[in-house]
Parts: sequence; structure tokens; C-alpha cells
Amino acid sequence: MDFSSFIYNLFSEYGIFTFVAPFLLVFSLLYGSLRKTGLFGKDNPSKEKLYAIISIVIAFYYLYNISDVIFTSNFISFFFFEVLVIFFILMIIALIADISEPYEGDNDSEFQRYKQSAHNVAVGIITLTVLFAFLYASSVDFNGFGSSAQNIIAEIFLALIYTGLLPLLIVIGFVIAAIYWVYRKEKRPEEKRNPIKIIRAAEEVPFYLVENLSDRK
Amino acid sequence: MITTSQIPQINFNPVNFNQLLSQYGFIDFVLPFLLIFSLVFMILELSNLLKIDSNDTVGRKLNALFSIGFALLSIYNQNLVRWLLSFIPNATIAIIGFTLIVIVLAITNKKIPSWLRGLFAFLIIGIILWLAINSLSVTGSSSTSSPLIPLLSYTINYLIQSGILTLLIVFLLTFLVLMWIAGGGEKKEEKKEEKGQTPVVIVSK
Repeated sequence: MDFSSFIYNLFSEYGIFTFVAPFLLVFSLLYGSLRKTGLFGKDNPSKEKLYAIISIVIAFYYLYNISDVIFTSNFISFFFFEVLVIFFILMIIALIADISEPYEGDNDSEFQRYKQSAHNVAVGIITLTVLFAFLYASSVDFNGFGSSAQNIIAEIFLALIYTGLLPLLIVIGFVIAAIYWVYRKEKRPEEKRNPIKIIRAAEEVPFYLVENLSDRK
Repeated sequence: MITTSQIPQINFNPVNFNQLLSQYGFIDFVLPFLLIFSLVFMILELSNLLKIDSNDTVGRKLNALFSIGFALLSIYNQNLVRWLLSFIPNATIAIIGFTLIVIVLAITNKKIPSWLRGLFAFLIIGIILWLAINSLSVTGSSSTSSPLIPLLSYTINYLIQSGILTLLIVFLLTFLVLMWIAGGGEKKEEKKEEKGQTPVVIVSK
């Protein structure tokens, strides 16, 4: 057995992974959140002790179910990997941003509007990383939270198929889309959308993200 | 005079340095821990998630505790260590490649035009995502993998065999054609109206 396996086994044996680490994670999160939100008032002299007791109790309850701890481990490890991928992307884009020229019509209000919309879409896509991490953690096999979570998804799919709701939902979706389209057409703005500006705005979004990050204090 | 045959031979056992590092848990344990801890701590410090204000020392300690817990719990999943080992060296090559491009452009003292920088952004995202997906496949699928994939294939088969998929495609195409006809006609009418309008000239006497 090499040294790294020895450390890993030692940590597993003494509950570092299944007791200490999850306790630290949940306790600090709960205690910090309670302090920040100030649920028990600002003038309460014993509030800090109360926060600590509540956080410790909830953390121990959480530790009672080992499968939840393993689920959390898979969840946060995949999430971290996604964060690392985003970090690498932003790092290279920051390199390119220094030696490139921004879009000429950057001050144009229409372009700024498109850029804001594209930025919102990008933030939405980045937020999906949490969902992907959850799906990964659910798909890893063990007899616990993950299997029940993926059973819920499976049950929903099967119920939709067997009750015949799936085609009905799709048709209803089409009808709603058609009605929405007709309704939107009446309120259609007079000015035309500029597809080139939309594409350029989408191209500028990664650089905008980098700018936002580097400007943060 | 000493000849080469007389030089005492050093009994040098060639040991791979990487093997030595991994043997002492540096690659499997220390490096991932440091990376995860520093990144998570940095993000928490930036976002002030657990801090009341920027000078809150207790909040800072809580951030550190959370990051330690996060890092230790992440390392518990040994797949993450394999993903990192596969992804980071390749992604670093990508960084080096783009840095070389930056160096070349710095020599020529020419800035990348705006249309090309957008293209570069998409290229970077594509390359890094591709490397990440490749790294994920390193761990492979276990024998007891998720039932979601067979379920999805079952759903697709159901849609194909029951004819619903064909119906949906026909509906979609009809809908698109209708949209195109209705939308296009209106634009032409608008254009004709614009052409038909004559400027009104008001002449004052």
C-alpha cells in the first residue's frame, strides 16, 4: 500500500471524510447564514450561542444519514469540477481580452440591451451547473438519497408515458406557443431586431463576464 | 592519473519524480485539497456569503472552515482526483497555446479585431468543454449505472414506435411554414405601404 492510499484509508477510518468534513461544511454554512440573516434579532445577547447550538444540532442530524453525506460528496465534487472548467475558460478569455479590440458600437443602446440579455442567458446557463451536479450525484449508484432522487425522475417519465399525458402535454405546448405567438404579434415593436448585433452581443458576453469579475472589489 | 574505470560508480536508482510525488500522496491528496480550498475560499471571500461585513473576522473563519470541509468532502470522491489529473494538464496546454498566440500578436503590435475575438471566445469554450467531457469519460461508467439513460432511450423508442414523433415533426414543420408565410407576407405589405406613400408637401402662400 502506498502512502496516499494509507492517508485515504486513515482518514476514512477516523471519520474525517464522513464526519469531520461534512460537519464543518454544514455547521459553518448554517452558523454563517444564521449570523448574516439575524433571525433572532440584533439586541439579543445570547443569540450567538443559540445560533451555534442550532447549527450543531442540525449538523449532527445531517450526519446521522451516511448516504446523504456521500450524496453531498458526489454533488459538491462534480460542482467543483464544473467551477474549475469555468475558471479555466475565464482565465484564457482574460488573456485574449487584453490584446483584442472591443466591438465598435459598444456604446450603442440597442447593442447594450442585447448584451444585457445575452449576459442574462449566460448566467442562466452557468446556474445550470448546479442541476448537472445534482443529476450526476443522483446517477451514482448507492442505496440512499441518489437512488430515490433518480427514482422520482424515472417515475415522472413513466407516469407521463403510461397515462398518455406526454403527447397531450406536447400538443398543449404547441397550442400555447401558437396562441402566444399570435398574441405577441399584436404587440410587436416597430423597430426590427438586428441579427448581426445579437450575434456580436453573444460574442462579447464572455469578455463582459471577465470584466465584471475583475472590476469586483 | 585516474581513468574512467577507476571512478567509483554511484549506485543511482532512477526514480520517476512523479511517482515519488504520488507515492507520498502529493498528487492524490495535497494538490486537490489546496486547489479546492483556495478556489472555494476565494469565491466565498468575494461574495461575502457568510460575512456580515467586509471586516467580519468570524465570517472569515467560517469561510475557511466551510472551504476545509468542502475540500475534504470533495476529495472523498476519488473520481474527482482522476478528472483533475486528466483535465488540468490538457487545459494547461490550451492555456499555453493561447498565450503563444498572445505573444505572437504582441510582437507584431497588432490587436485582434472585435469579430475575431468573439470567434476566439467560442473556440476557447469549445476546447475547454471538450477536454472536460473527455476527462469525465476517464472514470467510465460503472456496472451499476443510472437507470436514467435506458429510461430516456425507452421514451425515445416509445415516441418513434407510436408515431407521435412523426406527428410532432409534421406539426412543427407546418407551424414553421405557417409562421414563415404569415410573417413574410406582413413584411412585404409593410414595405409596399412604405413605397406607396408619397411625401406630402405643404406649401404656404
